[in-house]
Amino acid sequence: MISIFFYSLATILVLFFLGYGITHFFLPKKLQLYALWLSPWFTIIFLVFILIILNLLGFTVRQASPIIIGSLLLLNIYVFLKTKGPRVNKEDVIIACFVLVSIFFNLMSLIKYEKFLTTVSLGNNDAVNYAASSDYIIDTLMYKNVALLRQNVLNANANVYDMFHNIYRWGPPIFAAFFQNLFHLQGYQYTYLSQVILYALHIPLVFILLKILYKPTLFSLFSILIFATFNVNLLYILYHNFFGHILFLGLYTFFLIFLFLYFGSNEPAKREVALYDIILGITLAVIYYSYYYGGIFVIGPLAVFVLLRFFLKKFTFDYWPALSKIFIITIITSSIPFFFGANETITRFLKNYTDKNAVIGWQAFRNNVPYPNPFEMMGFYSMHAFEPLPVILAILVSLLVVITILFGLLKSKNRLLLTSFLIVYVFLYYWTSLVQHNFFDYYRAVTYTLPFILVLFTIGLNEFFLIKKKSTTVIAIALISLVLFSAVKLNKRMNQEYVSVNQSFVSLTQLNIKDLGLLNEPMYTEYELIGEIPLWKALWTEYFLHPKKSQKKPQDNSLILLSKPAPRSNPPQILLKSPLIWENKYYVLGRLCNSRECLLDRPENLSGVTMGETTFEDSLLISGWSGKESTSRWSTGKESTLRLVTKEWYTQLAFQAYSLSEPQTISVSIDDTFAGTQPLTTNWSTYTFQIPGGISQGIHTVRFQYTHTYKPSEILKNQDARDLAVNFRWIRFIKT
Amino acid sequence: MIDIIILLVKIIAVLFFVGYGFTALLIPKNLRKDAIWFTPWVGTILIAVLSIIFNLAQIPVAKSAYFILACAGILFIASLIARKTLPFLTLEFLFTTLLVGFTLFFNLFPLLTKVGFPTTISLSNLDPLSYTPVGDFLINHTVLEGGTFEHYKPYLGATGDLLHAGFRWGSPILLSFFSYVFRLKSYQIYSTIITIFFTFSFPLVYILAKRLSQKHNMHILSFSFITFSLNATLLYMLYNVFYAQFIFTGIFILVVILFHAYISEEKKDLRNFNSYDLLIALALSAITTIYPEGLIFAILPLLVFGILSLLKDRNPIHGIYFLKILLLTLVINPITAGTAIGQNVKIITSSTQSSFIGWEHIPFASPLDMTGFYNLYHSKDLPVFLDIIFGFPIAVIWLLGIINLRKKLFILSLLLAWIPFYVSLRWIFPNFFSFHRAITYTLFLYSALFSIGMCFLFSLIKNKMIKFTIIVLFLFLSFRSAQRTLYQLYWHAQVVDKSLISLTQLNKKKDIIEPFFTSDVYLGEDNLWKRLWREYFLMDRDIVTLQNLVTEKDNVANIRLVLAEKNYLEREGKKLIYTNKIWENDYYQLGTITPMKRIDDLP
Repeated sequence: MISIFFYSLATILVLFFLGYGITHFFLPKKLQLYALWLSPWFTIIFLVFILIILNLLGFTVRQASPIIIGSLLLLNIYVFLKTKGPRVNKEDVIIACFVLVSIFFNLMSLIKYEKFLTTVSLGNNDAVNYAASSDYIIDTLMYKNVALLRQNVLNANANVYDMFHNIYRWGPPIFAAFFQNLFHLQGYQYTYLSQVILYALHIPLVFILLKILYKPTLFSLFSILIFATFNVNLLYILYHNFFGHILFLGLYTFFLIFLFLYFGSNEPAKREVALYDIILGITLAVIYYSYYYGGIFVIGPLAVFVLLRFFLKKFTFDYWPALSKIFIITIITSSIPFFFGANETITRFLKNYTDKNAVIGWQAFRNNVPYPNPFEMMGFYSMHAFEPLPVILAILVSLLVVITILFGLLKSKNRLLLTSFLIVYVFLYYWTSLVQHNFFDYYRAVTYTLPFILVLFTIGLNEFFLIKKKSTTVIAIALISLVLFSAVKLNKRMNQEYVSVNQSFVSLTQLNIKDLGLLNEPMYTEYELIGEIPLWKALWTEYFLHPKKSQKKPQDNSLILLSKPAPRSNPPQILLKSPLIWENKYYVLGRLCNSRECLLDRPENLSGVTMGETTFEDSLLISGWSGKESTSRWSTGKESTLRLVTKEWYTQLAFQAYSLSEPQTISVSIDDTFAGTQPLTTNWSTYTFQIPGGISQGIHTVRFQYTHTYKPSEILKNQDARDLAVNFRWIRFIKT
Repeated sequence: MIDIIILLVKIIAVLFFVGYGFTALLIPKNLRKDAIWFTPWVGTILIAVLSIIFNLAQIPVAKSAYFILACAGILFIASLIARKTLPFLTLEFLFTTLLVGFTLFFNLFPLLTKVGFPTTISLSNLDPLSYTPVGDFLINHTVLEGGTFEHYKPYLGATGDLLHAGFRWGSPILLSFFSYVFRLKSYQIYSTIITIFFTFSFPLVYILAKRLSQKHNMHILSFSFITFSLNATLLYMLYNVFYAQFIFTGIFILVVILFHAYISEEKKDLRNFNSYDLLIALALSAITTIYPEGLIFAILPLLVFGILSLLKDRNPIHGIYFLKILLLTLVINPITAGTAIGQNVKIITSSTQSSFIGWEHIPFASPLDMTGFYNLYHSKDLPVFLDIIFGFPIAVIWLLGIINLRKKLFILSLLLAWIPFYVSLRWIFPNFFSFHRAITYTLFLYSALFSIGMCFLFSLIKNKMIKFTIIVLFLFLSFRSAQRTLYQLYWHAQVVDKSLISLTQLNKKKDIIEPFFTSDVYLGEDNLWKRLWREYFLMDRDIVTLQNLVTEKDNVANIRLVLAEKNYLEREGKKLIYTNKIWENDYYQLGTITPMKRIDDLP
């Protein structure tokens, strides 16, 4: 467990320490007060930018890191000698407390349950892609052997190609790779931890943004820190390991800080390239290097701002030079992901998304209204825990939130620029929800923009507080309580439902194929055998095994890696030959028993199968079967087959089963000989069929055909959309 | 013939159009007077750099071409609105244009008069077969594709060579751009466009000579033309269609002009980037993708100059210029910058190893050959003492040119950076072909120095008749050499002729889906040019040729069809006898033949 605390602390210290010199070197005077909290983001932006450029030029993370660290250290010494050194005030201490609480709160599942440094998720599988990509990029160049990487013949996980060459998300893996290389960690150990830290370090930025736009009070200081730390929607994104998204939140807020400060001064009108232009241009470049989806949330509002200013201020072009400089720097320094992102964004907008049945690829947050309203957006009511509020109430509280945000806008500095942002964001909310009907895109748009919206809301709330202190204090306490309640509720859910890269996965590192003399032999996992194990398990098994794993279908005597039964895990039951090759507490490696000779030689009685009991169930069930359950198994589709192995003479086939619904009729064939048809009921019953001519020793194929399939989601009104017909408890040959 | 002229005009028009707005808006004041001749080169640079960036962003030429043309249009209009047009209505422009026109028609003469339609023509080199398939491929694919084996697609080997081994992405993508814009195939453009690139290098050589000497007289124009446009050493490379080299050379000259103007201006603001930095960096970035091997020739002199001026004047300003340009070049497209650096390292290390050079022997060029006054290839190799005797006055003229230069240190830096290549490739690791390439990359400077030297000599001669006689003499020498090379092309050219082109009919036939052999599999290799072009024209068909016969040996058992040229059905006692024809045109036929042994079956 100590490693969790150690690496959290080490990451934070490195980020602050490496950023010290560069921050003081580049930070405009007006922001010197916030140097402390901006310094880790200077480090992040610098690292991502330089590491990517150097990687594209031919230097791996491992090669480039010492040069980068050395240069930053020299800069630190130079700045330290030139300046008085860092200063810390009371505000910084309060912010630091929130940062630490955020880290502790979000690492709870690791600290309390897993007790070692690993990756956890509320369900999303993205973590494995990031982990594999950061492992890969430590010693590899992005653009080396791309064709081989695409064909999956390199020593890399299949998702690596996708990360670097399909979605161009270079920033998160290269950032993690830098620290993994520094701390000698693997991707699975660092992926979640790095996100938690990035998330925590974005909180001070939200506070600084507030201070840029408004003169805050202690009330607003606490409000914004609580809203940003515990917003349930942002936590949902974090717990699902949306790494690019989390990095974007910080980059986006950092960009807004500099943008509002810059555009609030008289510098944009100058022709020379200012420090702001470089910082903003490079930050936008890093956004494109890390998460191109976010680009439109910055560029869109700036375009609207230019137009508004052009028409409202007597056709002035006063902000054109500044914007041109920023965009030229961005385009020159990140041209490839920039144009890729622009093309993708335009294509996405032009695509017809009006199909309500289009696959979204994400489970609805709740069946009823999966679109958070403004009240839910702010984290006052968790859509991840509760059904929607009554419509009237929802409209009322949402209206109050909207009024507060607008009030905040009115009381802020740089209102025209803020209005431009708000116009674009409202349009994007409208577009993703009412035009696209895509709750997940809407949710992403909401969570991208939350730091900005939270700041406006806090400003509005603070203004109400200044007008009516007592009643606003009560309301604020209520809102803060709601935010905390929602956050704790989600955190609890995370601790109960999370999936992790647990010790069983990690134990696969003990499997040394070379020592076993099996280096050139393909190895198969449960996924290749039955195809229905949870994706999290399949992907992480592949992560730890790659490149030992094969993509082909296993044959008799193939090398098979099986997990052992464990709590919350129900692995397939496959017949392996004796003796086993390797095993540990969690896994067993053996050779598949699949040939006629092997099956006939087995000591077990394979003439029948009892679901959930027999240790060879998945060796006998061939096709048309749903996932394993404790004491029964559903058939899927209109046909299912299995094989049974006999050493004696049998005359009947019997099974115990029920149909999900009626009408239902089952037809049975044995070795392609029709054995009969019988109607099935919805209660457990035993059915017997005569085998024409009987069967002797051998392997026999049994085929069940059903007249109907039903969806549990329609019959039982749940979310199970499988096409099921009959549930079997046991199937066996019997003698008369 | 008219098709070639129309194509010529269209390509030039597009190059000027794409480059005009950007040049007009960005070119520094002191270069504006000559900038009209930079326009096609800026256009080339923009097309190459942007197309590759778009391509790496998974936007192929079929999409990015529209964006590039639209941006060019916007910049063009912006330059008009901003009243930043480029001047060109001068007598000097008119003369230069006439010489450009003459050069175009001189070099396209065999294509115009003997072939008569837009196609590829070569003295013997097979480079077009590397560039044109890739040019067509990149219209709808990215540079990261190809390079992998596909059954029955021998033409794909070119994508592997050029894209994944040579990293020459920019040069074929220029073909893709023009092919797509004009809805043509790359082979139709190849010879025309390379001639345009060579021809439009000449005004740059003239501008360089003019700016180096600060003299604007017609003698510089004449000698630049004589020693560059009519230079037989360069024409040999042109007629052997070393496509990428000529694009590189033009951009390289532009870099030299821009950097020379940059240091002449002595800008003081070192913190900010300026249009010089951007233009030079864009040009270098274009070189990294068009002809990575040339990068070291262009970038090393800038570094040498930075160091020399620091040592000489204790002034780091030129070093800072270099660093700014380098930084911009690296970030504009780090991928191509990285691959170019890698390629240069690879080439330098491989040049130090003696290996087989797949090219006819070329003598090491003497100054007389370098200036094009004597034909290096098609005239008798002169004895060394004659080389020295004739070379000496030329060397003196070069020296006079150097003496009369502005910013001598920069030009000396260029020479200092190149001399190690000449020396090492001539004496330390003798490699006649690499030496020849090094010479032809850098010949423009010798042409400029010669023009400046001659201009100085002419300033000492008052008699116009003598001057005229000297010019005529040099013109005669150069023209005679050039004509000898042109003659070779005219009579001995390899052409993508109508018979080869007729295979597009078969390529488009959708009812023939089974793979087939080409006749070389049975008759053996007779004409590599024809065999490779057949593969090109049949890229949508599944074929087995001598190229992929070995790799497909396990997949040919069921192939029953053979494609052969009608007038070439037998060779060295082997004869193809057709039993059934399923397709034919005036030149080729496809069908089944009576069983006979394939090349791989023979003992």
